[in-house]
Amino acid sequence: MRYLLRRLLTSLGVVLGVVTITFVVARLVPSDPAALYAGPRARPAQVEQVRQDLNLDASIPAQYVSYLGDLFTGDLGISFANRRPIAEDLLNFLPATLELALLATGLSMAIGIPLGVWAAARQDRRRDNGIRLVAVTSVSVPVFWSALILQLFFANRLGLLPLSGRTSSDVEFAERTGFFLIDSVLSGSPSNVGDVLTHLVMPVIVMAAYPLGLTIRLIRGSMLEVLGEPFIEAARLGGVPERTVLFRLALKNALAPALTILGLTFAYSVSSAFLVEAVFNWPGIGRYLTDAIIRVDFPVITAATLVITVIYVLVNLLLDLLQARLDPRVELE
Amino acid sequence: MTTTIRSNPGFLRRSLFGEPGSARWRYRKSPLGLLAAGVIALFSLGALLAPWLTPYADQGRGTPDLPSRLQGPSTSHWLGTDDLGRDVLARLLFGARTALIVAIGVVVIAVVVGVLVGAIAGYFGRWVDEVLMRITDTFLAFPPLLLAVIVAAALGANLRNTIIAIAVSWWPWYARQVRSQVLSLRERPFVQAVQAIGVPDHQIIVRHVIPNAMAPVWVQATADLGAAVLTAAGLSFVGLGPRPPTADWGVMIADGRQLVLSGQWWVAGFAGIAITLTALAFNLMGDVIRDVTDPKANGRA
Amino acid sequence: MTAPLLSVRDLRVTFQTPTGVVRAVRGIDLDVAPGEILGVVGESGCGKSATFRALLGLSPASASVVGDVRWDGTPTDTSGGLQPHAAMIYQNPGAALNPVFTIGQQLALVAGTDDPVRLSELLDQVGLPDPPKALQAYPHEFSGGMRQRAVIAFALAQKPRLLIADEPTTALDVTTQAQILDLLASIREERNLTVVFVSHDLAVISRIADRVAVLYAGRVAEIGAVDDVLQRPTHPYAAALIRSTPSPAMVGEDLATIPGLVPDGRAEIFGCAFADRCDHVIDACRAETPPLRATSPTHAAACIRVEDGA
Repeated sequence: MRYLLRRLLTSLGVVLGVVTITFVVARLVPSDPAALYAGPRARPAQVEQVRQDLNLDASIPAQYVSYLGDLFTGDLGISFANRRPIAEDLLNFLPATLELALLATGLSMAIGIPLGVWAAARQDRRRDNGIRLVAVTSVSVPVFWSALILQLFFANRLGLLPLSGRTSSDVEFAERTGFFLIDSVLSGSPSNVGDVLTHLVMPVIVMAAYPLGLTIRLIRGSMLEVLGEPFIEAARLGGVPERTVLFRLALKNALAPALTILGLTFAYSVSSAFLVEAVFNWPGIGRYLTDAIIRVDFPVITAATLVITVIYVLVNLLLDLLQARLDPRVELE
Repeated sequence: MTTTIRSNPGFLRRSLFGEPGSARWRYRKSPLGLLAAGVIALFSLGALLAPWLTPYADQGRGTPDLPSRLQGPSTSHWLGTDDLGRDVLARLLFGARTALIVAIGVVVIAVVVGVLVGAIAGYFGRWVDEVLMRITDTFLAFPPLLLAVIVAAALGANLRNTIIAIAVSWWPWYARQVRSQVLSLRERPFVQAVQAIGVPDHQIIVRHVIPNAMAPVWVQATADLGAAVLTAAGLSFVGLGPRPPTADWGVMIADGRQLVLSGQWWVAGFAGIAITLTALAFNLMGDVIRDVTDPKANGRA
Repeated sequence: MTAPLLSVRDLRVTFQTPTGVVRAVRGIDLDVAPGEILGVVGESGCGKSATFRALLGLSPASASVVGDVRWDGTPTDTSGGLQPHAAMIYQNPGAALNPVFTIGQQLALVAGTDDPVRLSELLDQVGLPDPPKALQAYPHEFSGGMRQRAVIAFALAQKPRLLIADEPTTALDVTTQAQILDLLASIREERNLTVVFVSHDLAVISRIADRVAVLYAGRVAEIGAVDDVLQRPTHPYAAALIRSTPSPAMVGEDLATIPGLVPDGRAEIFGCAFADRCDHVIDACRAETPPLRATSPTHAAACIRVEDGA
């Protein structure tokens, strides 16, 4: 439990640091937030009123304290653009992004792990170079461009997949979880599920590309290290079939360090969401963020960043604990 | 001189390809590595010589030519023209300059800041290390792309701020790397020797510690050039990049986005290919360098 | 000597490295009799490990392994021909066990059975206390000696006829060393196993082995019954090696050292590899590679001056 507690405390410290950095960055904005909030046609008196309402006339430390207090109660502030509480909007948009990011991470692991193992398995230079090229290419294509190309071919030219959005306009079902894949299954109509799935295909593939490259490289690297260990040689000598050696004996060793990177892949998925969602008009926090960037809606920009970063910190915490479980040498107690 | 070469047949080959077994020698033996180096050389030449490589240098700098807008690829405009009638090839060549400036700018700033922080933390240890590393870890807690986004959004969109924003999110990676190097360097005899004769700490750090901690940083920095090009393109795409009329590949894709779906694919199409090829070449180069400099991978690469 | 179980003639192992060709084994002749424990000694770099790793097929793909190998009189693959018949015991038992699987899971894979009774039996044979519990344990929960016992159990699970022990006690403390040596000796008795015991430590070899082969620069310098070789070494290198090994009888004496270094694996060697370090060297030593010559039915040395009594 000591390990768990220490890990929780450091995570809390990191979150506090993250909050501080976003607060500082928010103060860097050259324009006057009160004027921005009041709008371009506001009279000076109105701007002053807004300044008082938003507590912007207080000293910076006082603002920091009240900002922390607000965060603690779950208040992420008010959007300049639509005057709505940001926390509510984020909560509405979050499932759409998580659905994408989880599926993309899953897809990249499902393809990346076997490819990484395969690349490390034998010192076949041509195959190794081929897989290396796949890995490096998938981290080199800008997501917003590959998204566009897929749209051009599969939606625009071939008409096989819907261009954008989460569902077709004529499809409706109850939103219980916000994860449309689950909601559509709950609705009991196969056509709903199909509609949701076809909308997911392109964004998930595009989002999975970068994590795929990371996963391949990582698994290959840590597999190469593990495959050089005497215990692998001993298992091969002992007549254990090569498949078992690779995918069971070696992979479990190679996965433990790779888990940390799973956190990275998930982070990349979530943070590249704003690029992918912009292209596919996907109503997640990524698009919420891009819209805010265009409107210089700073409270939304900081709040969205904060929420995504906190998710990232939590995912890393979880993976650390999972890693401790995978590796019997790390004692949780 | 001729006798040297004649009596030493491997001389020419060794001086071109490095000593057998050296990292350079192994790099030259990698076809992918050579391909990447070739692409990077082409890209750099294109960026440096942009004004002389195209008859449309003015358009590359941003001057519109409305009468010839949105023409497809032809003999006069090899890669077509954009919505303001500018030659796409010229825009790409000038965009290469932007990409090169951003990539080098980001890596240089991030390396300088990261190396200094890492070296100071590792050298002094104790509370200095503790404080600096807590700060570093906090920056590392952000998904890098997002930190760049909020910083760019806060500073306002232009080329300089793009560079600063990306560098802000990257220096911690170098800081961590350098710190771990310095921690072991600190115990080495040559550092302890200069400490003993009373050389001031800042001189030891700059003259003895940092130069010896740089090898892995250079490897990482090469690989990061590709990521810098990609990240900058991403920021440009959402409107946090250089302002018009500066030529920029990310902006070209953003502007060409709607055109693609109405059939004028060449603006966004070629810009995307340019970004992909450049990032691919840098990443591939970084990958091969990492392989050939990794002592564990010797004889394998 | 009865017909050998393993017979190796002129085994040569060379590695291609970026800095040149390394000759790890330069023509080894070796017979291993069924049921015996053959000790193999030599300084590091003399080719002891390379020899048996090559025979087990563990050389890197870039290595060239040539020579004539017979198993039970039948010619077999030079590289890897031994694999079906032999099992290996490693120097560092910690590294030879997979850290993220239990002993039971790993043992089941090599034993080809999941039956806990059968697996417990295997652990019991190597003297691991409380076998059912040991099956559930992870390697890090074991002491060094217990790990080596587990590794020996893995080896026995493969039902080998030949056990190759590569410095199996080097990483262990002295008491544990003795226990493992006793265990190996008793296993040999019970199962009529043949054991090749590779070590740099003459004291350990003298304790356990029936015969000993002294390797130098990738060749056999001297081979024979342990007592013969240790009491009456005929090859100057073997003699020097024995003089440089501490023993209780030598308290107070200065330990001898052998001047010079083992020749580099990249070097081309003409004549006797030991000539440069030998006190008895004559011009003829550098003329040709000395063959192994028998000095008695159980003793042979590769030195042209054996008859001179050097």
